[in-house]
Amino acid sequence: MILEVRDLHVEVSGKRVLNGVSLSVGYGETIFLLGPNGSGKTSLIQAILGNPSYRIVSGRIFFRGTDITGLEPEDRVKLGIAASFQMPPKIRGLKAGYLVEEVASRFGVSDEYVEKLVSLLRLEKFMDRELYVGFSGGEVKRFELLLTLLQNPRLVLLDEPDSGVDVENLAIMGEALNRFLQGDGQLVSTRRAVLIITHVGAIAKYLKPSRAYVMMNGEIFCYGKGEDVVSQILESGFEKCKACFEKARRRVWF
Amino acid sequence: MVLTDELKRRAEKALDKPPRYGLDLEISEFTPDYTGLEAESLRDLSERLRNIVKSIGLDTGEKSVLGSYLQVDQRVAYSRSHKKGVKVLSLKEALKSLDWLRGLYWKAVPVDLDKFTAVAALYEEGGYVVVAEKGVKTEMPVQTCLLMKSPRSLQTTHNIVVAEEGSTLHVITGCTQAPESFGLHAGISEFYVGRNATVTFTMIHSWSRGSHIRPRTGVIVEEGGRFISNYVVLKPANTIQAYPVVRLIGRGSSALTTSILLASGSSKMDIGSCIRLEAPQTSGEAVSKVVGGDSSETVVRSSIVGFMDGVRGHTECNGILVSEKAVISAIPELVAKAKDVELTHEAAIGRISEEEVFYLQARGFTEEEAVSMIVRGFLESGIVGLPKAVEEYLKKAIRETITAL
Repeated sequence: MILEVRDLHVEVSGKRVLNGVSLSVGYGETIFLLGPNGSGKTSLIQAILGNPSYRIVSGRIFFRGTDITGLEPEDRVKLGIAASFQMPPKIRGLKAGYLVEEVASRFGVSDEYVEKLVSLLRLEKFMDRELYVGFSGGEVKRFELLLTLLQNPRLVLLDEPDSGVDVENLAIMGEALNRFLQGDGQLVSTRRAVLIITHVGAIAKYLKPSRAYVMMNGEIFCYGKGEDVVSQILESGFEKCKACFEKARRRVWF
Repeated sequence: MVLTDELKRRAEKALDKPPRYGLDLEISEFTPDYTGLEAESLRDLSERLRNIVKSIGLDTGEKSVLGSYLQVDQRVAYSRSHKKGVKVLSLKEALKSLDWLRGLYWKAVPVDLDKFTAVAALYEEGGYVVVAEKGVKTEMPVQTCLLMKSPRSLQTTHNIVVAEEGSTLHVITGCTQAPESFGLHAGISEFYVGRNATVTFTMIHSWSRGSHIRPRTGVIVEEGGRFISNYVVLKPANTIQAYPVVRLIGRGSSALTTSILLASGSSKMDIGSCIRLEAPQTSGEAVSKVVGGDSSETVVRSSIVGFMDGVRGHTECNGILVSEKAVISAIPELVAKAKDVELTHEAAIGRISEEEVFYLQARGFTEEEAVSMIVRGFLESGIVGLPKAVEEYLKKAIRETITAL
């Protein structure tokens, strides 16, 4: 497994946001994590990244067999985890192009690959801008994906790449992700994996999930074959999933 | 001595007058040193002095500047212009050769403002005069440098910058000192911006921890003129207090004063500016960007006074604290003396954003690197209205200081 989360309980400012989440991502997999707003999907990604605001109460996180639960964020990143944030902060005065250069040189990415990705994601004209100041929703998502892929990661965590993004932007991002999974860059494709958070599933048109998990109220409700879960959710929404889960829980209890 | 009896009398009377803001000091603890040197070229300086001067970004080869002035303690070491239409002279030379200059001498700064103006007037030895003649527009800057090197030195200087009608002039000043000099710097600067002229003044202060800095600055801007100043403090001094007063006396004139302060060590700074909108259609903006580190204490003042209908003024202070012990106080003042004025202010001071720090950590940077990147971006975003070369000079200085932290 590239990522294994075991019975994770997490608090933010004393409030429980994850209640015993277990999840795994295998090499070469594309995993979808579905769930309504506020179900704990972003909290899971932030906890995997080591955000200090997300306090791990119990449970463990393993990355390629190593327990990373207590590691500093930058050390997790060095091991090969990279994330696209749903709403990254604007940083005034920090040139987007400067950050691109710094990230690329830190992760040993060639200038050619930087240029290729920048052009594929159509971000040439944003390099002189302050980071995310005045960017549209789609531009933020594309730029986040650029920075994420420049980290030459083994595991990509994408937090809602498809929310508030039009079809054209989504197609561009889907292409970049597919190329990444097929081995564009430096590592071979089977050594990589993607975990995508989505509550609308629109990205499924461009990226086929191998498996999918459904989260609600800080718990994993169910999981299954990617296409089955996505089509079920798109068809009947999360309510049916919830009813099914409640039924299963009753069966266990009584 | 070039002071008139009247100015001398007023200065003597003000010798014990405490400053309105900032810590008071006993001037008699500092001694003027006249044993400085004179140089034929900035390259003639000793290697040590040259390195100190270079460390604040001055171009000792003078390739990227129109002219230079260097003062070491109380002695004028070098002054030269390489551009026709732009004069760079010592104050003494200028008062001899430009008879009209006496009419401006001590007009923008009152000689009896406080003990520091008084002592600068009475000890007056150094100081530069930069003049851009009518219609002369330049892109490259004139550079000036005030250096203190003797222990417990008292450095006084009186600078006058004149941009004649329709001219454009950029002045960059670096103030620095040898590490062993725990001196007092009392510097007078008078700016006269003529009709439709533009002056940008960029000052980088890079003092050492023991020094006390008391600049006194006055600016007068005529019709359609524009004055832009960037006051940058990157290294900790012991104390600094500065409060330039900009008077917009001509219709349609404007001013932008920016303070970019990286407060560190145990330095105590009281820095601000006052913009007086005295003529119709004038506008002024006072902006401060402060980073509070270590156990520094910084007071940021700004005052905008509107005297006429239809004038506009805005003041803004942004501060970030990167240390538990640092203190930043913002004191904005807006004064309306006419019915139809538009004066606004905004201020925001807070801890460095944890969200931004974590975001950059998630991009592979350490916490310290993330803080440096945010601080640098924060300070650099305050730099506006300068020609490319001056902007680069300033950004380089900020970058180098923050990398060295």
